[in-house]
Amino acid sequence: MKYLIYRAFQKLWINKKTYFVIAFELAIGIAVVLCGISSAYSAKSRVELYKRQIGEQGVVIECSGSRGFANTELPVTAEDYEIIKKQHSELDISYLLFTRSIYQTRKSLDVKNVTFVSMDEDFFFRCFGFEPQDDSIYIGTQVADDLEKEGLTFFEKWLSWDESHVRIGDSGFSDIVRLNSLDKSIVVGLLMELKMESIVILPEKCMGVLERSVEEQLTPCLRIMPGTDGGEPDGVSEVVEMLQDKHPSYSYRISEQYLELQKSITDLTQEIRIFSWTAWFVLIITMVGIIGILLIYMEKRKRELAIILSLGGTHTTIFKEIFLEVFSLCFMSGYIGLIAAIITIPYLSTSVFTAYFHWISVVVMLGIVVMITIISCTCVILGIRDVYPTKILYS
Amino acid sequence: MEPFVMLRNASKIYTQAEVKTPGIINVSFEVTQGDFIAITGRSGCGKSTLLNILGMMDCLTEGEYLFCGENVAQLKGKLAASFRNRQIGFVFQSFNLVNEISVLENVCMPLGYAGIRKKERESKAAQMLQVVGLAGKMRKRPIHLSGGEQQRAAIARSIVNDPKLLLADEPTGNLDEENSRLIMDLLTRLNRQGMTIIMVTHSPEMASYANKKIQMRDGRIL
Repeated sequence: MKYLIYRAFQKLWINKKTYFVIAFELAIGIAVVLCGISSAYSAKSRVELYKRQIGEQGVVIECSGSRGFANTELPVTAEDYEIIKKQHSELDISYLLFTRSIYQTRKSLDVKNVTFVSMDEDFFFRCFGFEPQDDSIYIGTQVADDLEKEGLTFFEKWLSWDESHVRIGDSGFSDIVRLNSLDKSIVVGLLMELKMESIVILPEKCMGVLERSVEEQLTPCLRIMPGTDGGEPDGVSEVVEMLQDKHPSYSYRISEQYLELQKSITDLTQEIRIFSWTAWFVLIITMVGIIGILLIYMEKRKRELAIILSLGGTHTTIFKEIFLEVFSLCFMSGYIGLIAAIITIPYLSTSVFTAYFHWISVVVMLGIVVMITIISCTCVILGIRDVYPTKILYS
Repeated sequence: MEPFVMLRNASKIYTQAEVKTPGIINVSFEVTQGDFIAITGRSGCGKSTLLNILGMMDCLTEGEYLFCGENVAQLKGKLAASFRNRQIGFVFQSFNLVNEISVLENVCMPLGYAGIRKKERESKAAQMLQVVGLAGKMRKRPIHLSGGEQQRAAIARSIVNDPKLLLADEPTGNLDEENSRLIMDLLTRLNRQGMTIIMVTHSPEMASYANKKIQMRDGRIL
């Protein structure tokens, strides 16, 4: 075996001019292929990230045109919810029961993500199962699934500092919390502490605490989460159209953030396709070229191979010798191509994604090297398999 | 005394597209160790076929080939290759040296395939080149040598593994008179040192160097 390795490297050295050209072409080809593959994987990772973001955040449908506290027409009703659920049973939908408006206090405290509503006693009873008290404020967040069955769910963690609050009910979830103090400073202070999607239900007489914002803003009214398969929610546009038809006083649209994510996913998917096709094309062209050159070169060495057989070598000996020679050449070229790819890949980053070297490139490089070696050696051996050395040596 | 090499009712028939062409037919002969045999005959009589059979570069269709009492006709693959490497040396009319490597490397080849280490094989190869008178040209490539020098290098390669049998197929066929004489003197010297040589030749003059002659016609020994 040592002699075969010696012969392989001897041949590489003797034919260095020819092999340099082959090695150069192969290294360039491999570098291009690896750049394409790594870029495709980088873009794919970014697509996965965006899809995960959509999965976590869901798709939010926003609406504008709210009429404030006294508005009896909701942007999304329980009936709408039932229709959407029926048509898109695979989706996980939550929606706001109340109109949303952003308000500012007289002291110009900017309180965002807070919904202030006022509702009549019947509606309140229907939602929470008890009659509201006039002098109380009710606070919570809102997640609605099945109103009839589970009711509303509220979280109270951020209210624990106020000893005057009272918990009502015990359904296993944190229930709506009632503040029985109408002190303005407490109300304002509480509003500052509230987190996302908080709902404060105020009796009519407490409305003087607040001023209405003059700006009509787009506010979320419906959130669609991916189904159990985790894929992107489908049919969002149909839901928007349905709501628009049913509630013409409102304007609905899919949130810009989601649309931007969708566009980025589309752009990246296209780039992935381009990278992948380019990589495959270059790979095929490179391999065909290299194998062709090697076969022609080996054909010229048929006499030498016959001499080896006459001196006591076997077909296996020849296969091993050629395999080592070609594998060494391809491996060195692949290594150089890999280094070139590692240096080049960072420069392929775009504004949409950052290209980085993926470990799969090493596997692909080794795969290309082994494939070229095996195909070349097999073709050579098939060419001299049935030929006794005498036919070549006497010709 | 047991014959060194023996062919018994040996035949080789080539079949191509249902056409059978006889190479040798029912050939039987014996070779004693130390013989220098010249096989003569017209072109196409089967001399080279016989030599290829003896050199294990072709296989018999029928018959036996006994080498030191062992039937080697059955050997195939690695065993046949090993036998060819260690027991037999072959010299061709067209030298068949590898032009890309030096004369020394050419002579080292049989030793390399026999598994001999680099230092040892270079030493032995250098020794052989000295025997054939090419000590000063071992680093040169074959294309830089004359015909006679190339054939001497080929002879050195064929005997470097101390084979028991040296087969030469028209060793002087491509050489001029002077070089032919040099080659035949070298073969004679090797024979005197104990090498068994079987040589195929057209030339009666070259055949006269041998101590035994076999004549062939149409695949048979006369």
